[in-house]
This record gives sequence, C-alpha cells and structure tokens, in this order.
Amino acid sequence: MKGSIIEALKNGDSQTLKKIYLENKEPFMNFAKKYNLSNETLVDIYQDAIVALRENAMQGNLDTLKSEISTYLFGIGKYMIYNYYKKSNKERLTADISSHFNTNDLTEKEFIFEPIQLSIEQRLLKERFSDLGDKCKEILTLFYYRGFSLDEILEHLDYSSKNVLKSQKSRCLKTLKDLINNA
Amino acid sequence: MSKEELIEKYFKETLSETERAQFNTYLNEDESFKKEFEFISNLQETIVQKEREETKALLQSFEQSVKQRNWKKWLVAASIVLLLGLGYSLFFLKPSPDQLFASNFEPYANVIQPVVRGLNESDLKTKAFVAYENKEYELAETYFSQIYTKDKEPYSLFYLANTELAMGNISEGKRLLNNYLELPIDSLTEKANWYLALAHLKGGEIEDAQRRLRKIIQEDGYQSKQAKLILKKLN
Repeated sequence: MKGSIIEALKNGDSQTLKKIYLENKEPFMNFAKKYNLSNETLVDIYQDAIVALRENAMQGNLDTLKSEISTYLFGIGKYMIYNYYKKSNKERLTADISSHFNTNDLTEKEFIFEPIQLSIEQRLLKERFSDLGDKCKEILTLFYYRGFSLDEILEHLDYSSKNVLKSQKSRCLKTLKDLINNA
Repeated sequence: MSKEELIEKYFKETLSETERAQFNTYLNEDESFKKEFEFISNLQETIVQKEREETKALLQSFEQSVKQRNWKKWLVAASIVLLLGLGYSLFFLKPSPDQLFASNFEPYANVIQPVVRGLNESDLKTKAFVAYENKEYELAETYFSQIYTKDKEPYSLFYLANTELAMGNISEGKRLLNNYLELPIDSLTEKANWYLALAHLKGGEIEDAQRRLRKIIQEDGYQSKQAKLILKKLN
C-alpha cells in the first residue's frame, strides 16, 4: 500500500498527489494550529511540505521509509515551520515554540529541503530550458532531478542503446548551451 | 574517465576516492572543466526549482478545485434554502388583502334575466345582462344605471355595484352595495354582504372587511366557508 503510493509519486502520478494532498490537509492544519501562524502561511508551508515529499519520493529517499507517509509529511512540515520562524527572526516565538521541536528529528537528511533562489544566470537557463524539445527535457529531468542513471533512463524511455541515449543527452546539453549563448 | 563522466559521478555522489581527487584537481586548474561543472550545477538547480514550482502550482490548483467544489456545494445549499423559502412564503406567507380580493372576486352570476341570444335582446334589462355576461362592463354600467334611475329595481343596484367592482371602481362599488343593503332584504342581500367584504379588502379597510366577514359567518350566509378562510389568513 505505502509502497505503491510512493511508486505512484515517483512516477509523477498527479491523482495520487492530489489524494495525499487532500487527505492530509485538515489533519495538518489542525496539527499546526498550535504554532500560531496565519492560515495562509500554513497552507503555503503545507504545500511546500508536499512538494518536498514528492521530491524525496522521486529521488528515491523514501524507498525504505519506515514511518507512515503522513508521519513523514508532518515531520517535514514541522521542520519547515521551525525554519519559517528562524528566517522571520521571531526569536521570542522561536524560543516559545522550540519546546515543540525535538531537534533530533530535524537533522534527518530527508528533511533537508532548502529553498532555491535562482541567480540571474539560472533564470536565463530556466527560460531556455523550456525551449528545449520534450525528449530533451525528459532526459535531463530524469538525470538531474530524479537522479536516474543512464541505464535507468534507457529502461524508462525505450532507447535502443546506451550509446544512443548518451549522445542524445550530450546533444541536449549542447543545444541548451547554444540557446543560452545566442540569447 | 572523461571529464564529463567525472562531473556526472559527482552529482550522483558516486565518485571514488581517487576520482574525487581527480575532480578537485580539474576544478582548480582546468577553466573549461570548472565552467562545465558550473553549468551542470546551475542546470540541476534550475530543473529542481522548475519541478518544485510546477508541483506547487499543481497543488494550488487542487486547493482551487476544493474551493470551487465547496463554493458549488454552498451554492446548491443556498439554492435549496432559497427555494424552500420561496415555497414557504408561497404557501404560508400572509397574502395581502389585495391578493385575497383578486383570488375571491368574481362578478356575481346573472340570476335575474336568462339571456337567450337573438331572442329578446332589444329590451334594456336583456341588453344590460348581455353586456354584463360578456364582460362589457362599461356598457353594462350604462344599462344598469338606466334601469336603476328609471325603475329603482333593487337587482340593478346590486349588479351595478358588481360592475363597478369588476371595473376596479371600488369606492363606487362600496357605496352602491351599502345602498343596496339598506333596501329590504331579498335573495341578493347576503351576496351583497360578501361583495362588500371583498370591496373592503380591496380598499384596505381590513377591520371593516373582518367585521363583514364575521357577520357572514355568523349568519352562515353566502360564501361563509370562504369567509372563514379569508378571516384566518388575515389574522
């Protein structure tokens, strides 16, 4: 059951994502009430936690998950709330709520999900990336986001040989570089 | 091992000790290696960020769909409440005296002069009732007035009053009915009570109407059942 949910998440199944999102939303909001944040902020944090859950599933970090998915999700959410307090410099409040956090929980690798601030260079890259063909986007996403090896991509995308795939990937990178340089 | 492979292994975290040393050397000494590494590093972060943004947008659309569904639920609920309310008011809300008049007033039937068409239409009485039955009230008004001034026939006063009410001349109708009720009692007297009660309703004189209706009920007169119903609705 849990395994099949994680598998569906890995495959980017949006129905599964929706189900997890909707099923855990109310419980999460109730659980997070005690942290005294606005509803809007909590929904935002909850969404970020779901994004992190999906990302961790996709990158294979949940393959050996021992706890329930919801427990894991709440753990991420809790960590994010803690981070939110830290970042908004609400020190007094942080002190108040720090009793709610067992900091040992927070150092687990899979919880680490630092927001990325794209540099100007990266923003240009992002824009050009969208101009790539679907095949290229897929290969590069599988490789750099999902962390697939070439062998795994080969299986996933039905390429005739690893060499074909390898040269396809190199062409994609070259096209992307050309797109950026010609911008 | 190619430089490209070294960079890939770095991101897959599969560099061996010697490969890591090699990787670091290149990074410090080889400008094009460093450039390539930075490019791939930027690309990876960009793709991660793109995936996150797209996922977040997807989640927001879930949120939106829930809101819409809730909104639709509320709309349906509100519609039902509205319909129930409307039904309730149609069934139970007090009708206005005006509505009571409209739903009860029907000019009293011709019980005086049986009209046989084409036979004796020339005399005034027949002309008056033909016009009355045909709802040509202005014509009927003229004929009944003529009959009343000429012969002082009580029936002509009663039917003239009905004609006036039918035309919406309520105060004139009331005046005529009151005149009629001062005449000696005949078969039309109890009907006149009923029409006067209706005229009071239409005129907004609720207490007069109630008094008249109670009288009808008390005497068990014409339309006394209906009078009870109206009285109930007025309270």
